[in-house]
Amino acid sequence: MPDDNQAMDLSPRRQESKKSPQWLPALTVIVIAGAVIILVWFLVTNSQSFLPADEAVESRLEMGERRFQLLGSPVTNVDDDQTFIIDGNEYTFFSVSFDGILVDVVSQGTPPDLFDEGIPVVLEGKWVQGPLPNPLYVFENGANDGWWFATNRILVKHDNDYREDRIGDAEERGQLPKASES
Amino acid sequence: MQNVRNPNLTSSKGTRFMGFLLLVGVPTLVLFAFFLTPEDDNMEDAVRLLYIHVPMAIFAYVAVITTGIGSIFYLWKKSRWWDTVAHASAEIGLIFCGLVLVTGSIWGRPTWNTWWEWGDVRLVTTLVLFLMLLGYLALRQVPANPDLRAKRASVVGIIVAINIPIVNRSVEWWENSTLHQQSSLTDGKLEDLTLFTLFLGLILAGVCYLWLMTHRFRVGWLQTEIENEGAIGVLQERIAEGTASSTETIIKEDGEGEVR
Repeated sequence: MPDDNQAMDLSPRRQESKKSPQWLPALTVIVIAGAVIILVWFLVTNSQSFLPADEAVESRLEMGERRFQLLGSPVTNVDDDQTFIIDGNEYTFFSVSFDGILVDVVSQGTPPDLFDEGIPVVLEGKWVQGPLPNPLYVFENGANDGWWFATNRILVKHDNDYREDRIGDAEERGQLPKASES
Repeated sequence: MQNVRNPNLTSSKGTRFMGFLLLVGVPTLVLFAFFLTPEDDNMEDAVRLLYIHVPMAIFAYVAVITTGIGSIFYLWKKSRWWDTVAHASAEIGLIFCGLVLVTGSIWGRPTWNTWWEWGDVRLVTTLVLFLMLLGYLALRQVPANPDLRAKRASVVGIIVAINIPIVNRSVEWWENSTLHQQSSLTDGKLEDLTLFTLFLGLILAGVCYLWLMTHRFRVGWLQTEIENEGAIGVLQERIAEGTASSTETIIKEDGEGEVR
């Protein structure tokens, strides 16, 4: 038999709760704060977007030596006769176009596998005015205006077209000079 | 809500039918995706990721929108049913969103020439969506009164769902800030077997979402019932203990003449 003090214990009893790990609220805060920081950082730093080739040509005097991302579509695919080893470095010469405006490009390294005529590319680099690394080279179907874009990173901006007549479509959009014009 | 014949299971005729559809459908999709559809002229075999990446992305959106709707209805109706829907859908949305990021990255390497671009609006907004879903689910684990927990989660659930139009439209709104292509489906840039296989993938992703959703909802509902039963059980236990103690005291009073 329990004694009197034990008989009616009506004091609030601590319920044994299912304890969640103590680090969980901290993790929640970290994750949400992380998402917010990434979003803010992204919005602040993403003010620079790809500059289409036609706009890049218009503003090349103002651009100076500044690195930026240039958007355009290769006018032709790259053949072996467009690649040169100069002072131990491999350079590839090609031209890109946007809205009918051509830009000559010198790329350090080999273009990626998906580099192809009519497939838009994003080139990271800067404007150069003057002789090419191979001074005798003449761009086939290129601008050949004394300016060239020096790049060391090529990203392929594949379009959403999975049909067979991709080239014809790119010509219609003005991203490539029409076959009859070149 | 649960299976009447066996309350330990969350299956029903409907879920078994969906499971059967998936069992038949997934190998069919693999057959079409890997063997019957042609490779892309430019992208070659990498194009086959289209049949899983796009359906996963679309149903990640569906899952998050469902979480948003469930959250709104919880705040309006104060119904546990809607809270359970929101919770279940967010878990599935997180899995789908994670798969979208992984398959997208795998696809990006051969296609764009990079696994990831921090300046890319589509990639970063999708990552933020993933992190927000993670935050939503972590918040649900923070110990609190069930109503308070559901209320907090509903507010976050609505914020997460608001992110969907931003993620989806980012390729249109900031076209020159992303490597990601625009929609091939709405622009009619798919044809023949490629289009058919993508639709097959979409149907299967939809069935998979519904199947997972039904099971996860039922598990969630059972958890809620157990929580409620647990609270009632504790109360009944206390009442029973109190009644027993009173009876013992009366016996003491009668037998030993102790009066308090």
